[in-house]
Amino acid sequence: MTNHGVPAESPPAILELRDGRKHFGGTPALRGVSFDVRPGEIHALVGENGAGKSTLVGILSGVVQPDAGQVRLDGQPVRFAEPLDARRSGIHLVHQELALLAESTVVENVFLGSELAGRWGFLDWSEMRRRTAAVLSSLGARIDPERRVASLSVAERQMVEIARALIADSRVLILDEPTAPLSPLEAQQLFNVLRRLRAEGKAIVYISHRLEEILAIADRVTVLKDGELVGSWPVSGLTTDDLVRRMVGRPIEDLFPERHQILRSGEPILEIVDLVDPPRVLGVSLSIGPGEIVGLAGLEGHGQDEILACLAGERAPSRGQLRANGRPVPWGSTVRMLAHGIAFVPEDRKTKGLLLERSTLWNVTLPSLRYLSFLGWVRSQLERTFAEHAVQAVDVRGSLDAPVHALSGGNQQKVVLAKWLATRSRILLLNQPTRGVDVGAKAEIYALLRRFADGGGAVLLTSRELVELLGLCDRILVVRRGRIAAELPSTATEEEVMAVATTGEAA
Amino acid sequence: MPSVVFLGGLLAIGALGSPNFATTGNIANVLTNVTPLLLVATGQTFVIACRGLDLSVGSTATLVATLVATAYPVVGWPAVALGFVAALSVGVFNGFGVRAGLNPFLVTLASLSIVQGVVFTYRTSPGGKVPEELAAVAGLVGPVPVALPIVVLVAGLAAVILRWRAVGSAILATGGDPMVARLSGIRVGRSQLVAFVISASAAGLAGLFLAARTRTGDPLIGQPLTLDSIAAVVLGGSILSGGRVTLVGTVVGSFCLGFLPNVLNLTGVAYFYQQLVKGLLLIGAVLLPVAVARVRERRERVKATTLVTTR
Repeated sequence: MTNHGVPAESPPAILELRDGRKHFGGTPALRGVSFDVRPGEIHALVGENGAGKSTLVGILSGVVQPDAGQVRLDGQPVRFAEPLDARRSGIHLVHQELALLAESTVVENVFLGSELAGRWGFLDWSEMRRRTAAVLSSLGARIDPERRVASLSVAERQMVEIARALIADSRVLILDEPTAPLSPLEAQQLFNVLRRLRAEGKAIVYISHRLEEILAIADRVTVLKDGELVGSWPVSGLTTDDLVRRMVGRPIEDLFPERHQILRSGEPILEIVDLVDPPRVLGVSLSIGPGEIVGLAGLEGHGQDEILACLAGERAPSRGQLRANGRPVPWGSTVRMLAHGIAFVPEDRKTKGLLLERSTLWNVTLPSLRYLSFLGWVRSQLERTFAEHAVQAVDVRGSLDAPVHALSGGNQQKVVLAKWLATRSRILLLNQPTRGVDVGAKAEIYALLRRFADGGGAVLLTSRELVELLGLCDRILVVRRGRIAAELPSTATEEEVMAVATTGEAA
Repeated sequence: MPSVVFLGGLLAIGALGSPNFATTGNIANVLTNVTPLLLVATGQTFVIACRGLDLSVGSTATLVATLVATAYPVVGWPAVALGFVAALSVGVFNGFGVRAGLNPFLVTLASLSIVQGVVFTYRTSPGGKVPEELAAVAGLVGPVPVALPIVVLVAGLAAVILRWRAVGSAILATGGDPMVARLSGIRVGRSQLVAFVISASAAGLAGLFLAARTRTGDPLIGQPLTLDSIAAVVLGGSILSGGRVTLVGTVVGSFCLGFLPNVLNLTGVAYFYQQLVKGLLLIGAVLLPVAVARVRERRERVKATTLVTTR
């Protein structure tokens, strides 16, 4: 019983936006959108990046002030001047970048801003601890309330966020791409929690780029496009193709570029022998030839991230050999890896991939500055031409001189790609290449990667989205417990990959 | 906590190196000398907790010390109240500046200069007079410094505020991540204001104590407190970027800085080496935990690698 149709006698909406409009500068972000969520339902919100989802959710949670339109809570018009107002009204936004204090403990975070005070206004930590433990265990999460958030996994942090919402007795829970950083197993656990909350009568707004998920868990789905409402439908009976068509107007098979017959010449460009980097990587060997896109699949925490981090020079493994373009490369230096033609697109573009406050120009040319300068002076005309070419190659729309935080997620990711492609590296490593990127931009990124490979490059990537790995890669290496458990062809199914990832043996 | 190790080391060196160290007279002397630093560092801890830095504490202490000493002969006891109002105004000025989005370093750098400048308008050399009763606060009753219980009270109060009052959580949250704090309904600006007011008040108390101990208003007396207070907080193990502080650490850190010159003097180390040692102590405090963590990690990796190899 995954799909509930909306019952004929549906309860009235808890939270509603009527004809919401919002401009940012000259650009319209939302052009007259109405949206509502009812108790006991999961209402999915989809659309490409820049479609207006964040703005809509921002209005509902008090982060954004609409230019026009009305927010109604229990049928009564309300105005949320700031996030606090919405939160006090029982609306809790679970941010994509989880809004928790890393240096504080779980209980401190759960009660942040709403600490329980006992007599004389002194805080009652033991009561807070007790309640935190109770809520967490009701969510099926075994997390010690005294643990520091920095030591928790992303999935655990999400549970802490949800616990926060429940402690505050929120009636509306808004989740912004909650599964983006989760492994499939963790995502399933999250869905179980969400289903329980729905059964308890919570209203849940669920934003995701993963359409299969939405079909699996949501009751209704609303599609936005270019700031306008495409429509709202009950999920039952819909397929991912229906959704994709409504979002972008093209079916899903067009998402992935065509694979070409690879001529596997004897010379691999990237070769690793017996890489050991405890505790996560315990002996990995692989080789990739020119023109190949190879994917690392596996459950979260089995070593995929660390393999890439070693190759990127971020981690120094305790053993293993690396050869790039036939030449041995020592580990442990990002600068050296780049000099040997190994470029790395990290998972979190906001903290590792880009300097958000700086311009596209500045970001794109950063790793290539030494080629663009003379005696240490940057030749600005050359720099600009270089950046223009780099950006054109990935088709980023927007000014070169505007700070990148003004770009949508998809365009930001393309700027990161432009930055590394422009270094003329032959080996491209990517961790979650399309995290938080809309369908349209995903297709463009896949096409870019394929074009890079067709030009003789080698791509090694890891992603939590199996569909992506299977659709894009020529080969899938399944990582399990720090070793390559199996190599599967691109024709493998999700089930086959999962079987190896969970049991270590082919199904 | 490296500061505990340092303090223990200092005490050991003092006790072994000089027969005059472990005497009640000497210890009481150090305790008295470290009082203003303890007070200022306690206040500084709040500012650092909310990701700030208060460079004006030294000037503020000077302001209070000189103001009280200068005004007392004219107006009598209200001079003390005047001093406090002055300290509070510095805190409010800093707090509002930071609340308005200005960089704490710059705001307090400005107020450091302004306050010192104001002091020089009425006092360019030590002078004035403090009430006898106040001077007694800086003295001893038997072997015990009178100010000791006051300092313990202030530090205890500070600990209670940070841990057991909502405003303490708000300050820590503000320093941990201002965005997260704001989204959690914490009034970030107010937390910053409170932190700076607490810091200035503590600096004011320190100024009062300095005036009491020297029985005069010296227009330069607070100067070393600014950097020493930051050093004491860092030495204690608080994170300079905010969000996680330890008051116990600050107290221990202050004692380290208090005992350092004393131990060096008694063991016959020349004055000009003291700065050097202080600097080494500070860098050691920052490096030690990092070094320990690295060594531990390396050892574990080697162990894990051999496990893989032998399997």
